[in-house]
Amino acid sequence: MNKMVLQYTAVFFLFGGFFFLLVGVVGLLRLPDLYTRMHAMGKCDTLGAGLMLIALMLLIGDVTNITKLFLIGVMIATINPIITHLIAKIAYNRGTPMAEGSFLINDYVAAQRRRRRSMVQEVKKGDDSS
Amino acid sequence: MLKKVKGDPLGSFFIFILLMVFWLLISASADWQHILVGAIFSSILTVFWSNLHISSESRTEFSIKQFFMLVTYFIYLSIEIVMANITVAMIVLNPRLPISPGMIIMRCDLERNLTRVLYVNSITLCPGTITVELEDNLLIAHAFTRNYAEELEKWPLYQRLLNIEGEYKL
Repeated sequence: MNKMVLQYTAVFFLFGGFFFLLVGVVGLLRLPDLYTRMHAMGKCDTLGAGLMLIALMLLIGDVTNITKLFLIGVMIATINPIITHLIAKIAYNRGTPMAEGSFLINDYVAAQRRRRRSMVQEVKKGDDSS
Repeated sequence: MLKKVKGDPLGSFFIFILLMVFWLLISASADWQHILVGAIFSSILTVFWSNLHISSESRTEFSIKQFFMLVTYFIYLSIEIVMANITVAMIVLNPRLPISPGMIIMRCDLERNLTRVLYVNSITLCPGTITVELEDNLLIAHAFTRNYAEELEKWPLYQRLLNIEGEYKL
């Protein structure tokens, strides 16, 4: 009975991983430009492969193999965002065009101003209290 | 030639313990033969590495409180990864494809290398955004919809990372 429950949860995780990998591929086909495609691949691949590895861990149930699968999961979870970041960075530096109607928010200067204002207020508060 | 540096016994011992734990997890048996072989090879590796990395000047400062903060950070991060994936799936499988992509340029106040790497990678994994560039404190990210780009500044995990980094400055 216990084994049945374990196997059903493993099947649940397997199908979850399958679903997210499928969503990644569908996003790769449907989305308009490179950056949005990177969204689909970079996110969904990590969780899909991770769920598959969890299902395999449940099915195997052996310490050595669980350790190896866990290490594979950690490697996927660290390498995948780094490669996504690299591809996006190189595409951005080469001027790959974005999809039509993309916005651009530049919050850098405003954030710097907000920060300076809050620092000035802190200094004033310190003067009042002292 | 490798330059001889002053050793760090505590750091070497920590590396040795880590290698032994890894070896015991891989071999999964507690015979005296396994433990002996593991100890020999762990000590050889520790001696080799001590010439490269383990010196008392270049030791990474890391406290136990920060370790627990990092563990809670990873728990929240995994929850956020699942949520982000569900939202991406709902957007991609929606027949009308409700996206409005774009870039956001913002400021990042983190200074330590570890927290910066964690921040960039978790932005890529989590809330509908991927990082494009992080130079000194200039962060360029690409967002899926305009809503995500505006939520990125008040992201709760960023505050957690700032708290972890704040432990150093006390």
